Amino acid sequence: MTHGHLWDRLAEAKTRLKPVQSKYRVLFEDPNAPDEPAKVLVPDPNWMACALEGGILPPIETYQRDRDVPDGQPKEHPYAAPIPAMTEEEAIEYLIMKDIPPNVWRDYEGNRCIMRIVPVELIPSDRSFRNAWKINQETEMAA
Amino acid sequence: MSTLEVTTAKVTNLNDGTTTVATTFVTNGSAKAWLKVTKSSDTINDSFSVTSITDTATGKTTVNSAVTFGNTNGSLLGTNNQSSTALGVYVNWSSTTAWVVFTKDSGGSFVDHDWSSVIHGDLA
Repeated sequence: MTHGHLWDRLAEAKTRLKPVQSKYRVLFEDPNAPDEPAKVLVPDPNWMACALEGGILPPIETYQRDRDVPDGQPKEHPYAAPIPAMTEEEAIEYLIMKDIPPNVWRDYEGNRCIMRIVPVELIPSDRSFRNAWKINQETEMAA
Repeated sequence: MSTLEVTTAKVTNLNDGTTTVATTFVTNGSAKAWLKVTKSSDTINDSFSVTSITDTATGKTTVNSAVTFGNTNGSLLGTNNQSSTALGVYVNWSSTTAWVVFTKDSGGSFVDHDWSSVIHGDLA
C-alpha cells in the first residue's frame, strides 16, 4: 500500500484535524553568531495536530538523511511510511531536530546554555528590546 | 445528481463537461505552503504545509516548510496584513525547506508587523 506524498497527507489532514497551539516555545542562540539575539521557534498548529494524530508525518531520520541529498534529487521523506502519534513533548524534540541547525542542539560543546524549551508564558510580551534578547544563564527565565 | 465518495482515486484527467485538464494541472497549480502570522505574539493564525516559524529578530522570521521543494525557483510571495501602505514585506528563499520573511517600515528599518506568505513551486 502506498502512503502517498507527504503533501497529500497534510492536505487531507487539514480537512479533518483541529489546529493545536503548542504550549511550548524553543529558545536558541547560534553559536556561530554570538552577537545575534536569541531566536524563538514556534511550532505550527496544523503540523502539531498531525504530530499528535499520528500516521501522517515521516520519521525525523528521513529529513536528516535528506539534508545530504543534493537539491533536485529525489528525497526520502515525502514517501516514507508515516510514524505513529507523538506526545507534544516528542513533537517538540522532532521540530528541534528538523528546524534548528545541528550546531545548536547536537554539536555545541561550550558551557553556555544556548537552547531551552520553555512555556509560552516565559516569552516576553514586550518586544521593545527584541534585538537584545539572550537566554538567561542564571534562572529558568526565558530572556 | 448522485455523490460518489472515495478516499483515494487515481485520476488522470478532470472534465467539467466542456473542458478536460490533467489532474497534474490542478496539483501543480496549488499553493504548496502558506501561512498567516501575527508577529507581535508570534502566533500562526492559519497555515498549510509548515512545521514551524522562527522569530530571529525584529521584523525577521524564518518559515520552515514541512515539504522540501525541488529548487528555489518557485514563486515566493509575502504581504502585510496591515492597513498601512508604508510597510514593506520582503521574502527570500534560504534553502529548499525554508524561507525568510522581512518586514520594514517606510524608512527601511526592520519593524514587527503581521504578514502572510505563500509558495507556488515544484516539490522534491
